[in-house]
Amino acid sequence: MNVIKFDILSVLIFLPLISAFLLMFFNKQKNSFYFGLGCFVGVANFILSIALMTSYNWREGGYQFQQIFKIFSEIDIKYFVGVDGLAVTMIFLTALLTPICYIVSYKSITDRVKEFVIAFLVIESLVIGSFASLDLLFFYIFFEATLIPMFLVIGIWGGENRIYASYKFFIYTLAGSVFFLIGIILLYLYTKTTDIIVLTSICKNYFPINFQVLFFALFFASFAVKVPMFPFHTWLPDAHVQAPTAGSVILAGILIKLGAFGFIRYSLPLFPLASQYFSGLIFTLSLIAIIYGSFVALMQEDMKKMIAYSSVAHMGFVTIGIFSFTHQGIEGAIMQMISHGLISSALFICVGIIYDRLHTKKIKDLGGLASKMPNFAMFAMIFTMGSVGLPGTSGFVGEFLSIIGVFKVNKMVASLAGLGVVLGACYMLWLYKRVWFSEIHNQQIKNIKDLDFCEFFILFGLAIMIIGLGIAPSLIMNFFSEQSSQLSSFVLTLPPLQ
Amino acid sequence: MKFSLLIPEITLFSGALLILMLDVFLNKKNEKFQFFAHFFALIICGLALAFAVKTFGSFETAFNDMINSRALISFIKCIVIALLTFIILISIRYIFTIEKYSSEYLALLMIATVGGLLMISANDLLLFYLGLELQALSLYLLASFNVKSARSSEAGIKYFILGSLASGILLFGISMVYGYSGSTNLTLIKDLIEKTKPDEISVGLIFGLIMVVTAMLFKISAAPFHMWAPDVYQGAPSAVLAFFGTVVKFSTVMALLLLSYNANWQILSKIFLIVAMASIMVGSFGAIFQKNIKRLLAFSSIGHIGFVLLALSSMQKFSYISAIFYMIIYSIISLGTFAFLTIIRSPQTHENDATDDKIFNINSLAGLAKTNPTLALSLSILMFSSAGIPPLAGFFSKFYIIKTAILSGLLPYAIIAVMFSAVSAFYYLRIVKIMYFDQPSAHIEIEDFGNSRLVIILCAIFNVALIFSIDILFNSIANFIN
Repeated sequence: MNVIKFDILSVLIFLPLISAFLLMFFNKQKNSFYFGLGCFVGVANFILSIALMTSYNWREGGYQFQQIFKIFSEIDIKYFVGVDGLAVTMIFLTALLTPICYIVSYKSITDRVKEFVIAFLVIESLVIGSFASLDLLFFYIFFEATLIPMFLVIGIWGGENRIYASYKFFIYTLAGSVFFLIGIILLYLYTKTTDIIVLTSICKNYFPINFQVLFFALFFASFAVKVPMFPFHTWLPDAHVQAPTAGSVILAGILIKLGAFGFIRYSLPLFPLASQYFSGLIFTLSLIAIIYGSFVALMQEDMKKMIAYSSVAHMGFVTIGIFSFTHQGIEGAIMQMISHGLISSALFICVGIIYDRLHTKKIKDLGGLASKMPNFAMFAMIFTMGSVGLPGTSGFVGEFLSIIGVFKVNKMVASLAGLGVVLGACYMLWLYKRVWFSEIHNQQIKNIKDLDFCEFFILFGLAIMIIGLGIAPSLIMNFFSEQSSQLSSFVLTLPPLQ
Repeated sequence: MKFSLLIPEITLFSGALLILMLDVFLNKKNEKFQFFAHFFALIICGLALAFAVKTFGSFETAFNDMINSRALISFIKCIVIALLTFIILISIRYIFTIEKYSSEYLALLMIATVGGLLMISANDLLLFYLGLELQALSLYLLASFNVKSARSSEAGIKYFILGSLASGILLFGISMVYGYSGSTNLTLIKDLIEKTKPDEISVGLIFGLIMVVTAMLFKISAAPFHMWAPDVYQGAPSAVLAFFGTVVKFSTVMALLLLSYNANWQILSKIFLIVAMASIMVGSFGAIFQKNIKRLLAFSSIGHIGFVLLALSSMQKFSYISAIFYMIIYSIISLGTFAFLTIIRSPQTHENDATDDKIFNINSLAGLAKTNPTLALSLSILMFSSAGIPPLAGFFSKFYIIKTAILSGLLPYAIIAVMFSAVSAFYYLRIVKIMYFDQPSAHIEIEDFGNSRLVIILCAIFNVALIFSIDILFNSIANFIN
C-alpha cells in the first residue's frame, strides 16, 4: 500500500503522457476508438485523482507524496513532485475536466481526431505536472510546455480567426514567461536552489525589499498574463472565441488557474514583503478587471466572448482574494478558482451544445430555447446562477469569502468588488433572458432537439458538483483551509527586516 | 613529430584523395559507383571518428607548438566528424543528382572538414589561417556546386568575394599581431597579454586581434557581418546548405571559441557583447518577413550565433561550457531542419533546385501535417526547440546561456536577449502554423527517402529526450573543459 501511495502522483502525471505516446502508433482507426481511448485514460486518471484526494491527509497538511528524481545536477533541476491541499484540489479539477473535453467533442470534432486526443492527453499531463511540481524550474518547464499543445488545439480545431488567436495566446504567454524565467535564474543564483520547500524557508527574510520587488515583478509578468489580469487580458477573449469547446473548457477551467496558483504557491510565500508592497496595484488592476470586464461582457454579441470577459471579471475576485492576505480571502480565492473552473467550463459546454445544433454563437440569433430544450434550460439556469454567485452554488462561496477577506483590509475595494457581483448578475441574467426565454425568431430552433444522454450526463455531473460545493463547501475547503490560514499569518506577521 | 595527434585529419584527407583517385581510375559514372563512393566516404568518416576518439587523453602540443591537443579539442573534433558523417549520410540523394561530380562533392566535404579540424586544433595563427582558407576555398566551390543554377553560382561568387575579403582582413590582423607581439603562437600571445597591464597593451596588438576576431565573426555570419548569409543559404544546394549549417558553423564557432579560450582575450569581450546583441536583434527581426525557408533559417542561425556570442563575451570557464552546449544542440536542430530541406522536391521537375522559388517558399509546407504527419511532427519539435520552449533541448541551451550571462553581470543584456527570443518564436511558430493549420498545397512533394527521414526523426527524438540525459552531456563538456 505504501508503494502505491508513493507513486500515485507520478502515475497521474505520466499516465496521460505515455498513453499519448502510445497512441501515436495507432493508425487508421475509427474516431470513436480514439475518443474512447482518450476517455478511458481520462477516467482512469480521474479515479486516480480521487484516490489521491482521499489518501491526502489534510489534517496533517504540508507537501505529501513527495518524490525526487535528479535530472540536472549542475543547476540542481530535479523532478521533485509533491502535493499540498491546493494542488490536490487543482489536480482533481484537471482530471475531472479532461474526460469531459472528450465527451463534448465527440460530435463536433471529426477531423484529425487522433491528434486531438493526443493534444489533450499531453495538456493534462503537463498541467498536473505543474500543479504537482515542487521545483521552481520544473514548474516553469511544465507551465511553458502547455503552450505547444494549446497553440495547436486553438490553431487546428478553432474558428475562422483561429490563427490570429493562437498566435496571440502563444506570444503573450511566452513574452510574460521569459521574465519569469529570468526571475527563476536570478533566484537560483542568489539562493543556489530551485527547491520550493527550501526556498520558502530561506526566502522568508532573505531578501531586502527592493530585491523582492524585482523578483515579484518578474514573476508577476508571467502570472498576470496567465490569470489574466487587466491590461494583459486581451488574449483571453480571442483565444476563447476561436478555440473549440474543449479548448475553452481546458483554458478557462485549468490553464488560467495556473497563474493564480503561481501567485499562491510562489509569489506570496517567497516574496511576502513585495506582495504587500504591490497589493494596492493588484487591487486596482483586479477592480478594473471586475468592473470593466463586467461592462464589456454586458455588451458582447458573441456568447463565448461574453463568458470569456466574465472569466476576466471572476478571476479578478481570485486576485483580490489572494492579495488581501487574510485567511478568508485566500480561502475564498481558491474556492473561486475551483468554482469558476466548474461554472465557466459548464457555460462553455452549453455554448458548445448550442453551437453544435445551430452553428451560431451570436446572441441575436437565439431566443426561446427554453421551450424547446427544457432540460438544457434547467442546467443552464443552474450554471447562470452559479456564475452570478447565488447562495447555494459554489460561486457564492468563493465570491463571498473573497469579498469578506478584502473587507477586513480595505472596505472601499470590497464594496466596489461587490458592485462587480451585481454587474455579473446583470449580464448573466440578461444573457439568459435573451437566449433561453424571449420569442423564437430563428426557424431552426423550432426543430431543435434537447440534450442527448452524454450531454445530460456531463451537465448533470457539473450541476451536482456546483450545488454540492455550494451547500457543503467544507467538502473541498478542508483541503486548503489550514494552508491558507498559515499563508495568511505568514505574510501578515513578518518579523521586521534586519 | 607526433602524427598520432593528426590522424583523424590525415584519414579524412587521404580518404578524400582516394575517392578522387578512384573516380579517375574506375572512370565509372554510374549509380553503383556513386553508391560505392558514398559508402566509402562513410567508412572513412567512421574511421576518422574512431581515431578522434583515440586522441582523447593526450594533453600536449606538437609540430613546434602548432598543434594543440587536449580532451576538449578531441571532443569537439569528434562532434565535427560525427556531424560530417550525418551530412554524408543525408546527401546520397544529392550525390545521385549531380552524377559526374559525385566524388568531387564528397572529397570537398571532407577537405572542408579537415580545414575546420585544423582550425580547431591550431595553436598558431598561421596554421589557423591555413585551416580557414582550406575550408573556405572548398566552401566557395560547394556553394556554387549546382552549375546549372544561376542562383547557386551567385551564391558561390558572393561568398567568394566577401569571404576572401574577410580572409584578407584576417591575414592583415595576423600580421599586425605578429608585428606587435613578435609571435604568431597563441600561447606566447596569451602570456604577453596576461603579463602586461590592461592599459599598457599596445594598440597595434589590440587592433590586430580585433581584425582577427572580425574576420571570424564574418565567417560565422554574426551581425553586422551577416549580409552574405541569407543569399548564400538561398543559393546553395540543399545538401551543401546542410553542411554549411552544421559542420562549418560548428567548427568555425568552436575555432573562435578556442581562439579566445586559448588566448584569453578579455579585452575584446565588449566587441563580442555588441555583436551578440546585434545578431540577436537581426536574427529575430530579419526572419519575420522572409518567405523563403532557406533565408529564414539563415536569419535564425544569425540569432542563434548571437546567443553563443553572448556567452562568449563573458569569457569565463562556465560561459565556454554553455557556449559549447548551445552549439551542440543548435547543430543537431539544424541538422534535422536542413535534412528536411534535402528531401523536398518539385512535383513537376522532381528536382530540388534553389532557383525554383516555389519549393522553398515556406507556404509550400502547407498541410504537411496531413500528408506526412511524422515529418511534420518532427519538424515542429525542431522549430519549438529552436524557439526555446521547454521541455525541448533548445530551452536548456538558452536557459544555460541566460544563466551564464546573468552570472557574469550582464542582466540587462540577458533580459533583452530573452525578449528577442520571444519575438523569434513568432516565425518558428509560423512554420508550425503553415504545416498544421493550412490546407495542403501541391507545390512540393516529399521524397520517400530513408536516410534523411531517419536523421530528422533522430534529431527530433534527441530534442525531446535530452531532458532525461542532460546531465550526461553537460557534465562531459564540463569535464573536458577542465
